Amino acid sequence: MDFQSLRSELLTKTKQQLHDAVTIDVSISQALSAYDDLQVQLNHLSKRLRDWTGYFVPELERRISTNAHFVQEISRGLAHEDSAMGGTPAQPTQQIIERFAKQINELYSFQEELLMYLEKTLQEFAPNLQVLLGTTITARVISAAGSLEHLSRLPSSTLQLLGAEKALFRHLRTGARSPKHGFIINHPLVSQASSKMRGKIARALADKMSICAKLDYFKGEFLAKKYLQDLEKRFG
Amino acid sequence: MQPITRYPGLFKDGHGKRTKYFVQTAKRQSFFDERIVSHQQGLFREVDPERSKLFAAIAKGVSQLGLKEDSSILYLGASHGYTVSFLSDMVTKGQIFALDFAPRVMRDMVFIAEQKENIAPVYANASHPETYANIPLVDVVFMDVAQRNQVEIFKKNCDAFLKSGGFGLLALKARSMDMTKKPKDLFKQVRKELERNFIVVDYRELDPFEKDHAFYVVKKR
Ligand SMILES: C[S@@+](CC[C@H](N)C(=O)[O-])C[C@H]1O[C@@H](n2cnc3c(N)ncnc32)[C@H](O)[C@@H]1O
Repeated sequence: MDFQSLRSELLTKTKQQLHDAVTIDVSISQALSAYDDLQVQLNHLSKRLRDWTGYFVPELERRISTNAHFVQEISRGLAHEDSAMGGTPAQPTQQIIERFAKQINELYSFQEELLMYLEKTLQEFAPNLQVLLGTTITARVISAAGSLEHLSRLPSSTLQLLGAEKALFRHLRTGARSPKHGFIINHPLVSQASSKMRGKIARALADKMSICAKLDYFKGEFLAKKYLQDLEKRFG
Repeated sequence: MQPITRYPGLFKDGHGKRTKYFVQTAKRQSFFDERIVSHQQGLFREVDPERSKLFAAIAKGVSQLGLKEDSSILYLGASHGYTVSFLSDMVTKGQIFALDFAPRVMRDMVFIAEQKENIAPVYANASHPETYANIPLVDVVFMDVAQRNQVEIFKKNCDAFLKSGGFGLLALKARSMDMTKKPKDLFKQVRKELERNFIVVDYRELDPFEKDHAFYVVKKR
């Protein structure tokens, strides 16, 4: 075959392959990254709002420590009258601060929406993992593996350490202590355990994770509830 | 602007550390925001050796690459197509099969291949040559995949696709092979391994352009 015919065949084939490669895994990773990006931006913007608003309602700013709550409060209206120390904002200043708070509040709701999107998607696409690990950890492990398919082929020793690559390399290079868990450190069973038990629980959890990933990839039974209960009985 | 006659279509300007490298091009078209200069001799795209291991090796004075204007090349690890786009202007009468297995970068590669008539994209895993067996034998196999088993993948592809007497060009990243070994030791070990299968024609370390990378030029017996 001459080169131009082969080239046009390969162009068509590559496009088709790229088209087929766009599976739901892609949107799970992207939604998760969007969620993480928003977290960074939200911290940033909330801090700016606090800084600005603190000049007018310092007592309120001090009293409410969670950002989401503070933003919501200001978006309802900048009630500055009861502040002795705070300045008095001019009308346009008050308006723009309230608008600012509303925009941030909107982003907080959107972040929630992303989480709900992930939850619904995972309930359908990876029901076992979703129940065993919860929405965010499931999204993180799928995203780190690249796809559910790839995840289902990883041995449980790798699953246990997924998300701890940096610590693992440090261990290999410098002989620092080897990590015992990656993303699953955030699982309630692991995070609430005594540090002595953590390694053991992480291993048991990773074993179940490996089974659940295979069940989900091959569209098998729903067994995660039972696995989770077993683990809770053993370690909870 | 002076031609570097060892390689087709390649020119340089300036001396020492400030040497700039250019590839002659037919169209005033830049693919990666690179500078295009026009000269009495024609149009030139500036190539940055810090973005390309092939051109880093050239800047480090590699003696031969086996590249001619009509070379056919199998390029493994084409990525977004930075190096491929310049090679395309060098092998004006040749052909390049640009392979990668990451969808995100292959998309960019396709856009370039559509505009350059001597590039054909191949979306495949270089560890599985049997999946792209429809590609003909080539004069040059180039590989830059930064994988743990880089040398093995390289040998497999040279076995399957390189003509005898053809050139294999391997850009090796030490850290993706073994984090615990010293790069220098690893480079020596790889050289020994390559010598079992090929004639090693040249070898360069790519610093300061690229840290802990080496470039091997081998010839198939
Ligand atoms: C360092 S980049 C190559 C940069 C490119 N050579 C340039 O100079 O513009 C490595 C590329 O190899 C690809 N790659 C790694 N392993 C591969 C494999 N087994 N098969 C195909 N491509 C692979 C990656 O997707 C990535 O795009």
